[in-house]
Amino acid sequence: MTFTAPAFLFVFLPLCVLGFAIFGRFGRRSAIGFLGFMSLVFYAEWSTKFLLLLVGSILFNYTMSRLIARAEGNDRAQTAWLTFGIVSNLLCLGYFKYFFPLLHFFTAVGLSHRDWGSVILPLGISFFTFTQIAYLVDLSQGAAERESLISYVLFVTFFPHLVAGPILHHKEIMPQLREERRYGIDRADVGVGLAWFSLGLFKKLIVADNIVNLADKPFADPRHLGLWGTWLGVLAYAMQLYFDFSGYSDMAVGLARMFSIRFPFNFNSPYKAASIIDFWQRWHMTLTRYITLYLYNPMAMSMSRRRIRQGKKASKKAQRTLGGFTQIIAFPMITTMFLAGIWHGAGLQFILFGLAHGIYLTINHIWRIFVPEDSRWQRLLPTPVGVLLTFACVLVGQVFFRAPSVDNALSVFSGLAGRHGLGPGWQISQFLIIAALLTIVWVMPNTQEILGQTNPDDEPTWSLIRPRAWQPADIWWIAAFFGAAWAIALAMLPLGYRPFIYFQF
Amino acid sequence: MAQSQCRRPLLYPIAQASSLRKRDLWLGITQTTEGESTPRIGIRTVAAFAVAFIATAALIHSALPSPLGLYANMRTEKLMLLHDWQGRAASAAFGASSVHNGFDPRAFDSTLAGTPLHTTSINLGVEGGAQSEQRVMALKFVAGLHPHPDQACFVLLHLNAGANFTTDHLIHPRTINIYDWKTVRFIHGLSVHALSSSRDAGRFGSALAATVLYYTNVGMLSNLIFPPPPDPQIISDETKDDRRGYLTPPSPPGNDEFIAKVFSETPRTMQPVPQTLLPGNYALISELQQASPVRNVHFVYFVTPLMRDLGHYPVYPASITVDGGATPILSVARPDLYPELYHSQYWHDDAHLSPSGAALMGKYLADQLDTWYRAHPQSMSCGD
Repeated sequence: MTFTAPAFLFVFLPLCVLGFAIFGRFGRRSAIGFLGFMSLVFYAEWSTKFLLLLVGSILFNYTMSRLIARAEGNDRAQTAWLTFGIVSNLLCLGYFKYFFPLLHFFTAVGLSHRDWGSVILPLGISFFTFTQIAYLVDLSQGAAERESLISYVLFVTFFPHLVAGPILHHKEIMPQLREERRYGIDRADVGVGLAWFSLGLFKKLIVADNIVNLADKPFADPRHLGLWGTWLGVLAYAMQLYFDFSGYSDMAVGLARMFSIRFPFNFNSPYKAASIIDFWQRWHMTLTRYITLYLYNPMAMSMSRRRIRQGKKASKKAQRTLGGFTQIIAFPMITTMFLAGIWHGAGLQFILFGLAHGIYLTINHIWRIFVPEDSRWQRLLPTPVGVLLTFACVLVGQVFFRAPSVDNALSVFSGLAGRHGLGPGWQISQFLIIAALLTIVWVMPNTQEILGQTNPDDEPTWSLIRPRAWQPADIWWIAAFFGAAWAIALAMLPLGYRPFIYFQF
Repeated sequence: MAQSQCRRPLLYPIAQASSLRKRDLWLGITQTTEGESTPRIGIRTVAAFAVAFIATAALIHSALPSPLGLYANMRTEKLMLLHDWQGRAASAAFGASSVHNGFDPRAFDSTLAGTPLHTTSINLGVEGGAQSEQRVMALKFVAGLHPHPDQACFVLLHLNAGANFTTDHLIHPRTINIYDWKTVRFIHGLSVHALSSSRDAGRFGSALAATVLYYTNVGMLSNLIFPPPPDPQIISDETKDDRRGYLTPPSPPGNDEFIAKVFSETPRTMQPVPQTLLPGNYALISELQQASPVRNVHFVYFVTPLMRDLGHYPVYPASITVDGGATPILSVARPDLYPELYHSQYWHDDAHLSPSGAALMGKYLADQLDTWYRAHPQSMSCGD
């Protein structure tokens, strides 16, 4: 059941809202318990078999969290439990996500001659595994509190984020679940949530699903598509990926808001980024936060400590030396992005995607650290040029991300370079559509800006138009706007099942 | 470049989450500041939504070209065939898969060659087709029909096609693009007296649901702006060897043995079951007659065979009279008349004929047609 399925929209969601209103009358525990139960139902609709895996994972990790908490003050025991917990989680994830692809790789290179078969990847396994590992790590470091089982179950399974994120951090969700407040329908939150959800639904159904055919073309048969067709397809994929995943994230944020639970934003106009560092602070923001906290920072700190033990400096000044930069920034950065690439999938193309971004980020940090802000080199790259350069780098990464194999990706690059000729396979109207979408992502405000829900310390993104502050008297116009928008959305609804791209991760 | 890259801590949303406040005036709905009124989502707000929705949907609907021309898999390929044959084809057979797989225009035309009923026909049957789809396809064919003074023009309509599409096709362009009010009325005309009240309600309800989707234009703009490409394989398969739309799917391995086994296990009681036609069957002929720009177009109903005919086979009247004219009803579903057809080599499965069976059915239909018009002589010159 996806968020766009009629069964979800017209049965599951109304039941959840209604049930939340009823159970909320009996207090926090019953409301949270009800949402947890419905989230398990949501997952079971996909697979009852893997529901056992999800429940098993939750019970295992909750037990680990109790053991880690009980061992407080005994560092060795805590470390042992933590290591056991993390290793078990990674083994489970590795079995489902990487084990069989690895065996197939061995067969492909001639190290094995067996047909190893395959195993179905449980929906959302990466997301619920990482969420729980983070909780265990923070608990062992005293950065998290012990939670009741009922809150923990909802934290892990809450259906808006269960299958494709955002990757929640316990510090932003647990306080909301602990808070003794009125649990029930808050019309204001339902209004905001519905609008947020609707905008996400439009992004997915109107834009992403309609350009699937365009976006699939260069990867389906790259050798028979010329320069223009390949560029068109690669740009279409950039739009599809953004509108699909940011649409999903908007829907998740909106759904959570209907139950007065606030999720972190996952997108903040990433294609407006003027650098790759900026891009990763705007694209899949919760993943960036996760890998920064649990991969990059520990590695960078470890390298710094190592330098200090060796009698070297680890200060900001030290980062400006070749050795310091390599150890404290470049190595952790490239390793982190390498692992992020593997997280996306078991294939060489995903490793190259991660490595490409690791190298981009490293180059960007070289620029940031070694080129003074007021130098003429900086003036050579004004913001619009930075945006275009960043976008071009992102496109290259996305070719690896989308391609079914490295060979396929290289063939697409050949097409982009014009080595397959100019070729047929495109129409001017298709370019106009992609140009219109690029205009939207580059000059229009994003969802949270439109809804006036940005974080107070967020700088507004550059936009051609500024969303005005809505007034209560505008409500008729708003209702009319949504009425018209829904009519257009239905007419633009491509018929057929197209799951969200990030469901595969 | 990278001027603003480190302007905030990565964990900024966490800091926000701990201080949840309803701080924003949002869309006029959120309003919790003390002393200010809370706007309500009342009937008038819902009415504004509904009016805007209906007005926009109507505007889109009026601006769209004929939804029949929007992409709908298999039907689009058949409409392309029709377009290619417009002006050349004098006759066409319509209906569901048992027509698509079972009516060979080559056999039909060659049987009628040299008779006053001489014609050039095409097969416009569609896999999974229904009466509702047959109606719009036939209307399209008839509206574009050219005079053929040296030929006869036949519109061959599949009498035993299902009324609606199956539920698999309810939310599908094949259905949505054609279910206007006239189609609903037509389907209603096929329901009266034919079914139990619950099935009747289901059939009509399904048509109503489809028409709501039709008038709200579901998927139509998408298909207009981003039409999926027609399937070149279908086009190639249905046009090679002068097939003119007729195609039998290749048999899976072991199919012959399977069919032979089914035949051997099918009871051969051969009980005739009298059938009557429904108001919708009459209405379709009348509608087609009115839509025809040329005179002397002959409308014919025909019944395709099923393996279960060996137990009970339908017996229809020889003809019906619509607006003073006679419409013959031809039936190949007659194991009593065509026992030779009910042998395994002529069948692909229990509802579809094999290529040799299709050739046989084309011949039988042509023979029956010839016989009927000999008994009911009239001008066969199309357009005279």
